[in-house]
Amino acid sequence: MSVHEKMTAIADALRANISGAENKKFKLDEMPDAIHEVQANAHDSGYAEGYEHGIDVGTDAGAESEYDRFWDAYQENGNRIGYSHAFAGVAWTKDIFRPKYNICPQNALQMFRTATKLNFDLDEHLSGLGIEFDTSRCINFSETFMDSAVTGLGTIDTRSASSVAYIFRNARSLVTVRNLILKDDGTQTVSVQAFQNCRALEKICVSGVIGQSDLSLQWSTKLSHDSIVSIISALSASTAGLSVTLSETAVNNAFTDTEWEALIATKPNWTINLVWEEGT
Amino acid sequence: MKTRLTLYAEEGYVLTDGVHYGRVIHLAVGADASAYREIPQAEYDAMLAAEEEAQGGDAV
Repeated sequence: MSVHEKMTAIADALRANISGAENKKFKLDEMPDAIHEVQANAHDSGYAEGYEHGIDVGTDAGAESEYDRFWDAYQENGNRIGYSHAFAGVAWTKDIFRPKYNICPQNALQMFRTATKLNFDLDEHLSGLGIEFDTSRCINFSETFMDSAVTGLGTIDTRSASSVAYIFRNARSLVTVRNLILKDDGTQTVSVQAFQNCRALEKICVSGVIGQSDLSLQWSTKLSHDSIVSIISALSASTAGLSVTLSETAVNNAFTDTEWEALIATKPNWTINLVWEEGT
Repeated sequence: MKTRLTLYAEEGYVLTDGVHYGRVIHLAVGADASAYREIPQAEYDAMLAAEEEAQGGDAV
């Protein structure tokens, strides 16, 4: 390669790496400064790129670090069992409610009370995060979902609790409870308030035995055929003098007279009240 | 074989035994129908509203 060719190669490299110099011709004595300019540009652009990248990586790393710090503390590194009021209140949103560990409450007193921004299917959300919501050891379901905006629940195992009296009170947005598991001995306290104002409720599957009086789903006018069958099926077959209340609208929409008579004939020991509400 | 007795409230009324309410009452076999009386639907609605008010109404 001749000296001229070598100089041309250097000049070509300078033109390729100096912004605006694509058509510039370089004299030999201009080349050292041009090489310094290339070095300076590389430093600046590399710094800028690294800075931006660093911000992104740093921000993500920082957010992840803070997520871990918060949820490690809030869920006691996965060992938390006292979830009383844990997600209550209007500040919890879907973006924030992203637990790190499985939720296994032994105390769920007002756990989601007034969680008005958790307006989604809790089971689907937690499943999407790979988080299990296991209530099988919970002994306190008092007002667990009261006034919350939760729309759907998965399995709610209440067999460790003596009462489910107020569990879904005023859960006005609740549409689905996929599996409410009651004790098999029918000893759990239920009450008029358990499903008070559950006006959006359409689907519920009940297993176990309802063996106490006064359960009322009178507000649940959209309750499906299968849901009502599930409830009636769960009524104790042996205990006398018990009463349950349903929505007259729901029953009339879901059953023919013949079907309904056949269903309630399976539980002759129960008084079944049908309440009609204005506007339904 | 004993059969279930069903009570129906008149239009605009609700049946109650003082504890339970309904426009239709499917009595358990052997339950006492005489325990039930009719009250105006409006009275029942007012009672429900008063209970809700006493509980603090809707969350805000």
